[in-house]
Amino acid sequence: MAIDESRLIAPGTSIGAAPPVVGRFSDFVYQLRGNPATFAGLFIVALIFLSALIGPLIAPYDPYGVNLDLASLPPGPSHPFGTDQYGEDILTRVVVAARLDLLMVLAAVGASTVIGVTLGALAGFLGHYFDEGVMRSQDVLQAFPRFVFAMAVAWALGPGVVTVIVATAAINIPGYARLMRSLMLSVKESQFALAAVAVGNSRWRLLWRHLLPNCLTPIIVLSTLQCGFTILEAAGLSFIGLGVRVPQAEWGVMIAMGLQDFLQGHWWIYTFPGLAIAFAVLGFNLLGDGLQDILDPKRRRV
Amino acid sequence: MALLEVSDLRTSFFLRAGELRVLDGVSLEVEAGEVLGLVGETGSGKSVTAYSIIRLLKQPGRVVGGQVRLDGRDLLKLKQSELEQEIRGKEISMIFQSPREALNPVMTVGRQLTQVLEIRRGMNKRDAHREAVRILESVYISDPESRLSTHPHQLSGGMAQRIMIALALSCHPRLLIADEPTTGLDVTTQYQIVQLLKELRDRTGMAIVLITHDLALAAQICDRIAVLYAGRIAEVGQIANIFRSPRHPYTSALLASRPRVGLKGDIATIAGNVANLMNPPGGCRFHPRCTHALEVCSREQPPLQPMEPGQRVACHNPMSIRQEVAAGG
Repeated sequence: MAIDESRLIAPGTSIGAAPPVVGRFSDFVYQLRGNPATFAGLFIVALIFLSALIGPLIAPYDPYGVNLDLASLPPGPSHPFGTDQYGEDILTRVVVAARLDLLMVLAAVGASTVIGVTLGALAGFLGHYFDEGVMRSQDVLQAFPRFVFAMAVAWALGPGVVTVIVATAAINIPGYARLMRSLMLSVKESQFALAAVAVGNSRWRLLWRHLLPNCLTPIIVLSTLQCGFTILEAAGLSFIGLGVRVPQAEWGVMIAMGLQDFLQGHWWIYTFPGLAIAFAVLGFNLLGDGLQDILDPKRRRV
Repeated sequence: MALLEVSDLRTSFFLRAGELRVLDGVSLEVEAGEVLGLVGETGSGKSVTAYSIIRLLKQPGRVVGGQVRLDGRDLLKLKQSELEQEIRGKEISMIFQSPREALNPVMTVGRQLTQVLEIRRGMNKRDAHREAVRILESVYISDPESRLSTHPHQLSGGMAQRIMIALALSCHPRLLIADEPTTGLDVTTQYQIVQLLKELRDRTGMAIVLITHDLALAAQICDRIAVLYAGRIAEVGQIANIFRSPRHPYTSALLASRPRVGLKGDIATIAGNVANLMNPPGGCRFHPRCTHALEVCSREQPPLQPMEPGQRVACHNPMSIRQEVAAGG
């Protein structure tokens, strides 16, 4: 059996010269190569971004081209995914919908990350009354089942894109606040925080430059995973009619439209947007898992 | 005037069960350029003394009395912002045990150094980089240019401590507090770190307060040592005097409990436990464990007073001066 000599040296032992300096991008590519699942996730997410960017340009038909002569055609050569009840090409609509879905997801995840992380970081860092106030308010939010809470918010705001964003963002804030608070609590007691204060860092600089960056890896990973779930939730809201409305090209709406014809056996109307959602969720999940390894300096390939 | 004068420093921890008097009137001076060792058992208040000086005590600890004068300026009266901008890092810096944990794990070594240089010394990026390389060279790190791009977990303990020292000294403080800087390092690395501290002292003229429970280590580097017991100074003086002729029974027992070459039989231990600070024994806090205790020891706290061969001792019934020292002296 061959012995891997690099394993014989205890971790952390310095021998010879320091590792060579490599560019950030080439390092990122190198990290990806060792991790095929992450690569697949990145590929899927990139595909979604691509169709969001240029989808309307490459789609074969007009996503809102109603033509009742072509209504409910099964998948075939001219319409690979078939058509819906209005004769609109489903492939076109699935591709075009990526823009709206991605936009809603990024806005919702972005907003909940920023708000949740800010609240959680300050709660953990300041402690005392601020901590109590913030965390008890998060308890109240979390007391409701997630989707019921989102439905309540959406119902109060009335249907629309902004509603979907606000509702899905709101239900994710407590998760971020909680995670961030616990990270902050452990990291603020660490030796390097003490050392940073000892060499003269002020409170706020300590928070911004030393504590926050040390909490970011789990947050980025959570955000990526959350993108997947938020797609599901946004589609769910649209599906029950509280989000985006028919005839908008959006995956959740399209599934809802398909269900109207469920009994006629027109399976293609809801299956393809459903697959698009599953595909997107899978992509974000794979990417999120892999990012954990890539972002943590200790778990990186060297 | 001494660089740092600590007088009658009292620090307590306010716990639910009551007030824990961790420091009960500690007084000491540090002259410019000298190395003062603070030695004592676990719980004797060595680290709390250091943290009180640089005001890094955490809840529920609080300084309740005394003065810490740096060049005559009372640090305990300074505002938080003055402390951050004028004292920490610039006048007094600190290094810790477990150096790898004292460096920010997600930042490269170089970034941590250049950040300090940019913010505290107002350098631009290029100058800061050049200065960082120079500083790493000054603590004998080979290939400093490429070391700058490594993360702390890629460093050995000794290497990390050198970088910690480099960071602490980057703004030329006049006093370095080293809190057990060699704990957890292997013996040869310990020796190298101590030699490095010594050399930096000689080169820069900064003073060092070295906190340690390792008397052999203290002997290698310190000019004077202060022996703490249960939050009070038991004995303070030139290291040679204290090693040759300890006058406080506690110092004597501490020296006797060192492992030594050629020692036969068991190492002598000090009977009993460190005093309970919640309800400390009256008089001299060491008297319940002291083989020399008199009746007066349980009633009156002995003052710190000068004794032969040249140290100050807080004891009613000091050990007699060793014969060879008396004859030679």
